[in-house]
Amino acid sequence: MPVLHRFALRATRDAELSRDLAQEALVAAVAQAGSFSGRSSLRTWVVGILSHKIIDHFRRRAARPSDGGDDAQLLATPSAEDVERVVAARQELAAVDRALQALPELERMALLLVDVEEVEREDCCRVLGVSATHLRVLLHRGRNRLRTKLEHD
Amino acid sequence: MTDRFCVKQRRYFSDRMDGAEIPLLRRLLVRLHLTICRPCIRYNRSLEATRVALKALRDHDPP
Repeated sequence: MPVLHRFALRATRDAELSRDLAQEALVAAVAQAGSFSGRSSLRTWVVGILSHKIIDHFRRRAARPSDGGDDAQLLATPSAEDVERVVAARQELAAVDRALQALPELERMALLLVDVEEVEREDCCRVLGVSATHLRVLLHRGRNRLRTKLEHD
Repeated sequence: MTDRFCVKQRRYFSDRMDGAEIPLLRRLLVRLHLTICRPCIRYNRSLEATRVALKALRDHDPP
C-alpha cells in the first residue's frame, strides 16, 4: 500500500476518504513543488501536506471532544504481566493499529506524525496547528491511552 | 510515596523519552523516582514498549 494511503487510512479509518485525501495531497504536492525547500525528506514534506488535509477534514467534521480522565489512567499501574502483554503486542502490529484507531483524532495524528513518521516536532506543531506544549500533552496522553488499550486488549 | 506524586512524575516520562527539555531539578527528581518506584518503573517500560510498537507501524499496512 502506498505510504500516503496508509498514513491517511490510519488517521481517518475510512478507506474511501483516505484514498481521496491521499490523491488531494499528491495533487497539492505537485502544484506546490516549487515550495519544497529540501529541508526535510520528500516523504516528510508530502506527509505534512496530507496531514493538513486530514486536519482540515477533522475540523470541518467538528472533532469530538477528548474524554479526559487522564489522572485515573495515569494511576493505573501496569502489572508485570501487562508489561509483557505490551511487549508481545509489538509483534502483533494489528493490535497496535486497532488501539490507535480508538484514540481521539488529534492524539492519533500526533502519534502518527511523531512516532510513526518521525516528523520534526516543529513541523508537527505547524501541521496540527498546536503549540509545542500542546503537542507534548497530546503525545503524553496518546501514548498513555494507547498503552492502556494494549494492556487490556 | 503518594499516588499524586507518581502521577506528577509520570507526566514527564513521555517528555523524557523524546529528549524534550525538562528543568534540571525536575529531571533529577524523575530520574531518582525511576530508580526507587517499582510501579513507575513498570509504567515507564510499558510506555517505551508502546513507542517502539508505534515505530514498527511505519512500514506496515493497516488491517
